[in-house]
Amino acid sequence: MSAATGPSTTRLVPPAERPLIEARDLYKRYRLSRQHFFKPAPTVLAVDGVSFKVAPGSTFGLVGESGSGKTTVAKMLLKLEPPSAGTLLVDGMDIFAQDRAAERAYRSKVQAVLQDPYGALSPRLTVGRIIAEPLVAQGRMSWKQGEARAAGLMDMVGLRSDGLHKYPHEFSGGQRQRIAIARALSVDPHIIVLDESVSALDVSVRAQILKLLEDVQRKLGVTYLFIGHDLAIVRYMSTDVGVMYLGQLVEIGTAAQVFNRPLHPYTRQLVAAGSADTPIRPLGAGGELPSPINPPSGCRFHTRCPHATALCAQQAPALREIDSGHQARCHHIEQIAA
Amino acid sequence: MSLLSVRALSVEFGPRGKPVAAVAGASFHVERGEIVGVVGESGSGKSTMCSALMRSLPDSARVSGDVVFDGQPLMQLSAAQMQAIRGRDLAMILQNPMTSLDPLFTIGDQATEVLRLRHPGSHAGEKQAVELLRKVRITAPEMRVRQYPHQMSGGMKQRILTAFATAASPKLLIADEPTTALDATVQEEILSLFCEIRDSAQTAIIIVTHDLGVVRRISDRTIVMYAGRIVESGPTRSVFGDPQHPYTQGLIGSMPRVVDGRVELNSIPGQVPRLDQLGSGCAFAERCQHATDRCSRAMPPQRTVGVQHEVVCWHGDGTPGARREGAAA
Repeated sequence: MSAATGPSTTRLVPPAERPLIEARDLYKRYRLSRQHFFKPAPTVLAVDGVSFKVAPGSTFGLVGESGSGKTTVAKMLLKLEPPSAGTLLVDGMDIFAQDRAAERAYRSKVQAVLQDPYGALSPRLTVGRIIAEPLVAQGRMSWKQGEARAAGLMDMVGLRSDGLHKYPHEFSGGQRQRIAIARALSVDPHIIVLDESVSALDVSVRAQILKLLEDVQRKLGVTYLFIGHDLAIVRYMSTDVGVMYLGQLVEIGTAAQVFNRPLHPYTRQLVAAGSADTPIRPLGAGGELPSPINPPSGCRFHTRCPHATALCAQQAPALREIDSGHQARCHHIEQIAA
Repeated sequence: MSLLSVRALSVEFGPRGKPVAAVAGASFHVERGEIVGVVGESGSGKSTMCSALMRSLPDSARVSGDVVFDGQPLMQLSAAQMQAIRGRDLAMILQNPMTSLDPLFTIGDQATEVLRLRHPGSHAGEKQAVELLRKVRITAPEMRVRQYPHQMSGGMKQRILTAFATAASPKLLIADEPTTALDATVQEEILSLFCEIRDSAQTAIIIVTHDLGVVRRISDRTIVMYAGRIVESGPTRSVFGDPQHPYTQGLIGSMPRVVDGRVELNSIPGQVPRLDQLGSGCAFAERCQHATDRCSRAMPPQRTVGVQHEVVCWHGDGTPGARREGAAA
């Protein structure tokens, strides 16, 4: 990190311009259990050539349905899964080519707050210990010092610090999510992965947690990878947005670009479904979500796309830049989004 | 006469000396072919209220009040009479499509069981099961009837459950959080399916959810619950367009919305009170910025503020905030 001397290619870019996270053509293939003794085990391409950049202090939103690969991207950023191909650069360094010391440092730089506030906290530790544990595990502080810091963190996330010696079951879902955020913040991370972090919360609690996350970002300058399926929420939180479908990014751009002028038919469907003014259309015939194990030929969305032509079934479209930084993966953008 | 008319429905748990009211004095009605949305957060009593209507609460619950469904007093019926109505005229879909189907039986087996129960004496077989799935647009139903629940996606399971629940063309379908676990486009399919069921069989639907967006789009009327009580009810257009209760206003404000090209969101301070610690006044008082002494002392009366639009709040028109930010919607 501090190796500021010596010309490295990443240093050529001015620091302000350099993305904190850069995914270059990431692939992740999982092997499934063997179905037949004499046949090779089937595989699923959970992430299929995903590239994006995230500026420091910004929020990159990822939307998509179950099975679209958004959580797999998050797992790679958290270094829980290595990519099958491609590189993931954080702060200019390939996180899958680190030595042990660098890896240890990286683990404290990237934290996560997940969906289930009930499953994420150990029921047998006090809240003070839960929050202090990452610091102690990193060998940075003793339990006593850690708990003192935990009190300050609880204050920051809007919890009364007299809860330090209580157990998770004594808190509501929203409060538990605050505890999870405090724990993530304990090691001064640069990046927090928020994977459906507010999806399980009630509307008013969700709004409070979103406000808190915003506040934390403003104060500490952390960068968020915000994964969600509620478009309005992702739009509210994100600077830039990527829309995933069956492992691929089908559209990417700034939040304003993607939501004000969605280009891809899939994004257009999602945006329409999220709008209060959209009438409920009659049920179409079929339209099952295809399996990522056996994705459709050509454009993966062609089986559900109202604009699909013969070309779409044969040839996979590439991501095309339509507007500065606004890209979409569709053969017919010009006709559709005109 | 309304299809369903509920008067002063209360559900209490706990010791008689110190009861906890999960639902307190709920009164509302549902007309034939109408879609009514019930919104509220965890602990607001919306699910308990539905279970009370189905009479499927545990024995420890004390239910009082009058419920007249299709001319019959539901609370006075014998267990056998109730069983005859349940599933046939009055059906329910539960929140979790993953656990509502039996993992050990094929979809076809479960479909024929439902059909035989709903039409005693009929000999429903695979052919009828295929028809049932086709009604909810399951692709390749001939193949699906031979499959097990784990081979289906969440959306498919929810559609199958909807097919089961509506197999006998019920007069009223109660759907408790039917879209909560589903992806956006799958949610669309379920909502379309509900509209179709309503249009084809004049089935009335009570849809219980915490997703205001869903209620706003699908329901004719909206009921807002807070801490066991109905705090506001009315035509969906007026409840969302001109919310009168500060809680409704806060809830609507908690949804991100685009104002002048920027996305905005407000949050309600504080948290939902515990039901065993409610005072004598309005349960929302401690979170309400318009609250006065009277609010925490005495329960506000129900007032009519528009056509069928009712609110339970001390602060009427003219109070700053009664028509505050929600009017922007």
